[in-house]
Amino acid sequence: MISNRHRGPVAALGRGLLMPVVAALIGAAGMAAARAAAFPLAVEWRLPLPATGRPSALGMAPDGSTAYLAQGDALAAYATATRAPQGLLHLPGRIVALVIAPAGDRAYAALAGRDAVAVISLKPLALLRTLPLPAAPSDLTLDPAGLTLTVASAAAGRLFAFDAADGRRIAAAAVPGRLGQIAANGYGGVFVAVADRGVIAVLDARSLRPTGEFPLPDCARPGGLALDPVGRRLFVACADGGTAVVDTDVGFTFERLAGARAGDARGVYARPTGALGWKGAAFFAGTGATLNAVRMLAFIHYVDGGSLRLPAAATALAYDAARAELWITVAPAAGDPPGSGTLLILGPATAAAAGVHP
Amino acid sequence: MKLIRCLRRWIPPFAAALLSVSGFAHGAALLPWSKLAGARVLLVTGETADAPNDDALVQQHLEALGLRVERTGDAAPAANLAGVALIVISSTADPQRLGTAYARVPVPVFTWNTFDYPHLGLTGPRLHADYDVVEPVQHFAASFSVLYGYGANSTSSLSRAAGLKPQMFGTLYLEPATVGWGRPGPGGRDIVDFNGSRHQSGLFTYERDATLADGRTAPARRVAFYLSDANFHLLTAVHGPAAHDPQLRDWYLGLKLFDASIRWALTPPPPPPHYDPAALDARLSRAARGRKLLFVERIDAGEGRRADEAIVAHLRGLGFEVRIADQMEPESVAAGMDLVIISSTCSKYKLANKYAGVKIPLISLEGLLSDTLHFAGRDRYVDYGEHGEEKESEDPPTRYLDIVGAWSGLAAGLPPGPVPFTLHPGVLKWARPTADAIVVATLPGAPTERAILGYPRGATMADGFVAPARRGLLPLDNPTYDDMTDQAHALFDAMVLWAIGDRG
Repeated sequence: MISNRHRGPVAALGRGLLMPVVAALIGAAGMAAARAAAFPLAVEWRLPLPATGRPSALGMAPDGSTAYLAQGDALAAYATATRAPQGLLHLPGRIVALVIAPAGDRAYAALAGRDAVAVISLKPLALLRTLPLPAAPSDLTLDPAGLTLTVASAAAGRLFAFDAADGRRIAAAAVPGRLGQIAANGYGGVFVAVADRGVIAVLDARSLRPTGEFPLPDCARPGGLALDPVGRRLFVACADGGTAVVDTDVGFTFERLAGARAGDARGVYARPTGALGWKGAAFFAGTGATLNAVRMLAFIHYVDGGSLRLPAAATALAYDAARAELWITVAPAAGDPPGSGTLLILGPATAAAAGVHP
Repeated sequence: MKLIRCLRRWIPPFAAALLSVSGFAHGAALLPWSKLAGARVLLVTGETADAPNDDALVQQHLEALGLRVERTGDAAPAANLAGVALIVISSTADPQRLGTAYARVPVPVFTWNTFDYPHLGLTGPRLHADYDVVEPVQHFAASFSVLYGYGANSTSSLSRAAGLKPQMFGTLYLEPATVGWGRPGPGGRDIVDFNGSRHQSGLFTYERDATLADGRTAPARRVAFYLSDANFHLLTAVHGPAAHDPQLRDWYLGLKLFDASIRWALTPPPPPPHYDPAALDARLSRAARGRKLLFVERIDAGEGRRADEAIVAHLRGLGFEVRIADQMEPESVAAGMDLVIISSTCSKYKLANKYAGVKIPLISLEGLLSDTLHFAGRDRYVDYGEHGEEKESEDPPTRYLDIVGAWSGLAAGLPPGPVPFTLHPGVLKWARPTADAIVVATLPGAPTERAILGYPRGATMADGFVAPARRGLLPLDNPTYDDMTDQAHALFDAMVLWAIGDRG
């Protein structure tokens, strides 16, 4: 376990000597916390990525041992403990989204160039098969049991459902509107943000039968989603800033939190159970080049958790629950080679720095 | 006063147009939103720069419903109400600044400014007794209990429009809530209450001409709602898959209740009935023709025999085909009848529970049957009782009733206030019905002792009994019919006409 508690120059030097990756550039320029006093995470790693393609997706093994980073058609595995590369797999298409199976043995990657989903073995890292699609995929998700894979095609305005066990396509459905991120709960529901209609469309995960919509009052162009499967809360990033918190049992937006504009964002839910000094959190990052947080105070009370400026637009994020670390990839910043990008790893800020009162 | 006189002369063109076009005057349903589009709403708010509020959200919501909303501050109330169809008073307005500014205006008022309720006459003046505000700082536990409301009234047009049922529902989303409640006056209708107490009404209404808590009558419809400054956005609603479940739709009713309350307030009330005994008699004669009426009495009763004969003669004169049944005959004699009237000569003890469940309209002339017939609870002299009966009442004989529901056809067009019911002081009965009753008259000086009331079909009566058909209570003691005033005869006829008007 890496100690992240000291971020001074001496500590940075120490870690730089110990770690195989050179880029332990703590507190990198341009990443000043917009509201540092409250933000629970601080950047502890900054890894420039090679110019092999725009970083597009991140996935985290359920046990937190390995992180997977998609860049162009390549899927790279990193040991989270050491940040050391562990393997690389080239897929037959540009990866636009990635999801890891709950068992940690497989991953699914949406391939834009091939209009397909790649089924990947993670141990060892190998392509098992591809599942053809009639349209270009934009996002995918698995239900928590790993039984049903849902794939969205924003271009076609359609969803596709696959039986994860045998790769059989079991349903398809049109969802009118500009589709954003999708998420699935553990009891048969799949949610998709529909930006231009300002709603969350809800479908049955297996049949893709529409079962209703959640209106999102005062939330412009919803895009990114983060689902708390225990609290049954869906956090929705609003393009006009901030987050809507929806009770997914009843489709009711009970909090509309102000916050920075995350732009066209993706979200991830975190249950740090105290590691960040927080009970729970949702994080959003996207074209707005900020990392925005929602802080859980109770299942019925959430507040704006502040935001952190990023050096460029974020392209993906994943949460490592074992280490309470957030992995983010960002697009090339000004001056970076085209087709490159940066991996940022954020860890818990110190209690003092985060303004947390135990 | 000048403003009020001016407004009284002014018939809102909006309302008049609706009346003429829709013919609503004879219907109870609320106007659809499509017919309310463009109605002008005055939203009265206060300055709450230092605290969050939902006034802007309310305005946005009302505008989304098609209403034209104008904001005005509490410092300059009632400047110009011409053309205003509804006044909405937010709790952000300072009640002391508002004072009685909107109390007498003949424009509907919808308010969640609990501390202003007494100024409007909606409740009495005593904080914690007549009205109160529950909030998490002072009343943390109670601020959760008020997340649960009860559908006290399920038969009013407002309740029906919202789909309110006699059961619990979620008032606001699951956060400790700040809400207001009030104890409605004699003419008020408790729609939603908290904590199992109808004295803690979260939503209550007054029809135009209904008697307010301060003894005045409502100059137009009045609605008191349980909201506070910043929880409009937490009014419950259900979307998505859960919205397909009728049980959940019935639970998440807060926003529907709000909307239905706005619609009810904006819907012009039926024209007030006019006191015209001859016309009433003629209407009843037309309605009675060919109808079969069962009159249940104690045959050969001593006291009251002449009165029973007079009642039967009157009913037959109206055209009813009257069959007289003794109190000991079985309930089956009601088969094929259109209306049952139970005379006050009947012995409660001998009549037992008969006729309580008959599926045709029923009128009881005996208030002491209130428990067996489910008009009121079972605590004699608490839930029902009488004035003027030696050894059974501390209250002296009386000859007056106080009309508190002048808006209802059951009031026969009589004006609000005391009306002579008998020529001589005597025994008059009363009951405390549930919130689903239409209350028309109380005993003088006892606003909670209701003398004339009716339950619509489907109303939840006492003991949770659901009225299978209309039920009416008229407080005649054995010989009273012979001593009734003209006004009382009109009230009798109005009750009969109302009862047989039950078309299911």
